[in-house]
Amino acid sequence: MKIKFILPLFVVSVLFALVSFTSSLDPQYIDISDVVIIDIPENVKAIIDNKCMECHSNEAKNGKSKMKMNFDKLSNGDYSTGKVISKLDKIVKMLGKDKMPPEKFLAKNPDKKLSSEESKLISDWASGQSSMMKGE
Amino acid sequence: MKKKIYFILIAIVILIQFYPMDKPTVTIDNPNDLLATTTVPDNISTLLKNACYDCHSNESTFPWYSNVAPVKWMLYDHIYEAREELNFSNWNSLETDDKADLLDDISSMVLEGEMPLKGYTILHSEANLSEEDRELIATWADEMLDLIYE
Repeated sequence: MKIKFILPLFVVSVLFALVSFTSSLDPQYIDISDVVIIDIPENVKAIIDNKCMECHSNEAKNGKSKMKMNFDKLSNGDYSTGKVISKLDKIVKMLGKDKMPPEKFLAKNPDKKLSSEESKLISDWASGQSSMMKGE
Repeated sequence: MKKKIYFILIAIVILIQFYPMDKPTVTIDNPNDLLATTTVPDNISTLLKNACYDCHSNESTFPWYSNVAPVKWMLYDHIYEAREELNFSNWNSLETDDKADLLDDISSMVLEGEMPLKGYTILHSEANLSEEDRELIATWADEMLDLIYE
């Protein structure tokens, strides 16, 4: 009786061990070549920290803005290459149209408005990074 | 008195039907269509067709109420706007960067529940995506996005 019980348990655990062993050999689990760490210079980072992170970081409360752009993910290598490029281009696009920070947010937080110099600093950095990654 | 109000209401509804508005054109054969030019897994193409193509392609279908004012004013406008933002029927004619931009939007907007619009899913149950459907679409879009810049 006891053996009948132990045998299937043993078989199952061996199977589990096999599965986890083979998956650990699977290259997608150990390949880190996809991780993209991008370089944000201090002066750009300071502006982003001060004016963007309230909505665009891991700690942000608004799910929507965090989902669309998360600077923590961008700098931690949590986005894949394609994603990083599209996010960088989006930064350039949004700043070019003067859409960020949004007016509604600025109405309550006027101190978060980007000066044209700040906007240009971020934008130049983002477009430079993006072209570099595209190999332009 | 009540009768009069009904009469006036009906008259208004009939009258507004004559207000002209161009119906978005429908074309079924689109050589640059995403699904015609790109390999998309069957389950994803079904989801896209069911949940997105009515507004984000040239293959819109129009149920009877969609051609009755005032519904049609809103609906036609929505379709024009939707096609301008993203039209899967023109997919292959887009620049690489625009494709990337849109794929990133698809991923985050579908995952966050911003798309498909609530007003649309109420009337189209097949567009009512489950959490798994949303994950599937987002993962597909993210993978496509990576392939673009490889």
